[in-house]
Parts: sequence; C-alpha cells; structure tokens
Amino acid sequence: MKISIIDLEVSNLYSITNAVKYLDYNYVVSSSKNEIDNSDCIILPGVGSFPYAISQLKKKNIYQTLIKNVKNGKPIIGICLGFQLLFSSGQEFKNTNGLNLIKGSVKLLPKKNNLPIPHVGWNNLIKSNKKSISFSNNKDNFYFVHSYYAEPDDKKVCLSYTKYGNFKFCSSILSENIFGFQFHPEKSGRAGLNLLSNTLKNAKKI
Amino acid sequence: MKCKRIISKLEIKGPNLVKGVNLEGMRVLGKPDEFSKLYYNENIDELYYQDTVASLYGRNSLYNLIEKVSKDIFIPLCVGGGVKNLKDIYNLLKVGADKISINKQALKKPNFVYEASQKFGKANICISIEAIKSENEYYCFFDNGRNFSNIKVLDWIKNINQIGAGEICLTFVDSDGTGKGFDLDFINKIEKITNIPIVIHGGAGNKKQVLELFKKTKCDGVSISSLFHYNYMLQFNNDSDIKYSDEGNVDFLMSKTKSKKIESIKINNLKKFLTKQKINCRI
Repeated sequence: MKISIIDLEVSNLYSITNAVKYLDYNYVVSSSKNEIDNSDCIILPGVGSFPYAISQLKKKNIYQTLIKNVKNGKPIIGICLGFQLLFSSGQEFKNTNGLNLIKGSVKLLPKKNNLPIPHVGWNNLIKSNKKSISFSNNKDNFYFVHSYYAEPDDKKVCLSYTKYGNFKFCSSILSENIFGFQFHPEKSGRAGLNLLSNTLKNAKKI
Repeated sequence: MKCKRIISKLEIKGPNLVKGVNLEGMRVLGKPDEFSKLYYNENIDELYYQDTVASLYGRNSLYNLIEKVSKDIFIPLCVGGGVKNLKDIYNLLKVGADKISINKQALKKPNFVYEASQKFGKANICISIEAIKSENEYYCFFDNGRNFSNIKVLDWIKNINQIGAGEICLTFVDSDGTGKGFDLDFINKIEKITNIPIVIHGGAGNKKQVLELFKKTKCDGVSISSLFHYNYMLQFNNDSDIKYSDEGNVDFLMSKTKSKKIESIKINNLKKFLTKQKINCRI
C-alpha cells in the first residue's frame, strides 16, 4: 500500500512521515494530483487555520482531486486540522466551505467554565460504538492541540467522544473509507502508534 | 478526562545536557539524545528543550538534536532558545519541533509573537517567562536569567492575553535547581488574569511539592529537570570512555553523588503517586 501524505506547506509533516516510516509503510509527501491518484491511501495532516488550508488545497488544484478519490472509495485519514477539513464547513475566522465528505461543521470550543483554549494535552477517548477499528483500551490517552471541534450531523459516524471539562465533543470518526482523528496519533506515544497502525491495516482492507 | 502534563525540561549547552542552580553553574549530566529516548520510554508526556546559551550568543544549535530525536520519539517536542524570527520558527518546526518557545524576542518585540501565532497557529507558540522576585514583585528576565527587562510578570501576562500564545511556561529562577518548591500564591494570581494554559518550572524537589502544585493551582503541567535527571543520570555509563566536551563542568557527573536537596524520582513513580492522590496523569 502506498500512502500519499498531503503537503499544504503549513504544517510540520516531519512527525507524521516519521510515524508512517516507523510503521514501515511506503509513502510520498505530495500535493500533486497524479501522486494522489496513484496512491492507495491518503493522509491529510494539518496544522494551521481552516480557511488557509482550504485555500492551499484549491491553489494546488487538489481540492476536487481529494473529493473525487474519496468518493471513489480510496481511504483517507484526516488528522487534527486535516480531520476538520473533511467536514462541510468551518467557522475559524470566517465561514469557509470544507471538503464536505462528512456532513457537519467545525466550531470554536465553548468559552465557559474558564477552560483554557486551545485544548492542549493528553486526554482519553470514550468509545461510542463497536466499529472495526480498535482503540487498544479505554484508558489510553492521546495528544490534543486544538481550539475548534467538529460536529457531525450524523452522530453514527462518531467513533469516540472526548470530554474537555464538562464539554463532550466528537474526537474521531469512521464512515466507510473515511477515518478522522482530532488528536495527533503521531504524537501520542505507543498508544498513538498502535492506533495509527490499526487504522492503516483497516485502510488496506478497503 | 484531561491529564496533567508531566514534562521534562532538557537544558542543553553545546553537546551536553546540563543543569544548574538558579539557571547558573551548569553541571554536565549526560547526552541529551540518550536522556530523550529514556524519558520517552519511561512515559514522559512532553520534552522541552532549551538551548541555554542560544539567546546570549544569538543562535539556536538544537536543529541536529531535534532532527535526530524526532525520528523515534512520538510525543510533543517543544524547543526554545534564541528564536528571533519567523524563519527560525519554520526551521525548527521543519526538523520535527512541535512547539516553539520564545522569551527575549517576545519581550523586545511583542508583535513578533502575534505574527508567529497567526502564521503557525497559536497552539504552537509558547511564551517562556523567567521570573525573578525583587521587592515583592516578579519581573521578567531573559538570556537564561542573566538580564533584566523591567517588565512585571503580571503585566506581561496581561499583554500576552492580547497578542495570543498557546501556552505560558513560567520558570521560577530563584527556585530553579534548589528543590525548594513553587510560589503557589503567585501562580494563583496568574490564573486569575489569564486563560492560557500554564506550565510551571523551577523548584520541584520532591513528589509532594508536585502534588501540592496540582492540588492548589489549576496549572496545566509541570516541567521537571533536576527531580528526574538526578535519578536517571546514574543509570548511564559515565565512565571515561564517554568523552564529554569542554563545555561545562563534569565533576558532579563523575563523582556520581546525589544532590542533597532533590529527592529524585522515576517518571512513572511520580505519575503513579499523583494518580493515587486523584491527579489524573497518563500512565
């Protein structure tokens, strides 16, 4: 399986490429239409802002390429901002259309109870159903860094929830060939590498 | 539920991991890459690298180290020391840093932090504060505690609220390396004026002080050096076949003595202790 890791020229791709390398997969870091078409799986990472990332996808002419590949059944794994980009729209700075592969929107974490924003640090996942992807166990913690959260219209796509203070948000999704994580599995130690490894194995079967 | 972060601060001078008292009198403790790997395997939540002479000499020399350790360490890496412009930040992120910590240049040019937050996302920008108390007020210092800015820490934090940053790492320089604990009242004062996550460094001398910190303040994490370093340094083969460079004092390391003021502890043992006391940690 060959993985294309999308390069938006805003993020630190070093961590995700190191993790994929560590798990012994072939990959290419790219923003070329051909390389995405010729890969078997797409990883959409991302640090930065929602509108800028979408404008980069459009500027590099791969906005439609991503949509087409995923609609044709190619597995995609969105991480952090890359996870948020999968949704219909984002409200960071201004309302921006996302890839609309998952119906729903991306909103600012609520500013209540004096909780610091961004939500930075290690937090656990509360499983929402029994889909095929396995979280090694409920006690594992994963590394989060985000100020916005994604809210899918169809709650069934949500694979796990996470609680920040009393606020519960969807922290990962699975919808057929679409995988997404709000946290950074590539920054979450052994638990993160296991999760990424399981996800890639599942993606390979698609 | 969110965990309290147990971070290790690795102060680097030249090729060596060092630790001093009040950010001075640096003793060589070993090789930073070896400590990094060991700490990762021992379940540390984050590593914070500080080039202790970068700001003074105007250059950060951690690029090679970060590039090397990030190949097989999969936790957040924060890097600081001598970061002056957007290009410095970009170059550090490119070799595997996740967060960049800024002190001197932020004090000199607050707008730089705003620009950096806009470009790289504020979650990736950390403001480092070196606090020294003088006549009942804490002031911001820079160049590893050597130089004085005349800016009060509380005023500076109000300013940081405006310019934006993902995190504040506050070092109590007076307590650094001494094991005499943290100024909890002052941390409580900071919490009243900011919503930005705070990491506290400088003063942890035993596990109870860390527990107190989490019980009595809302701080997001603790950044630890002596408390861990003095435990693990004795594990390495420090015999004469390892050549330490001229930078720094190796007498302490070679003597294999333990610090009297620091009740050193293993990372997992600290986490287990805190968890038993109902402080949520990543075990």
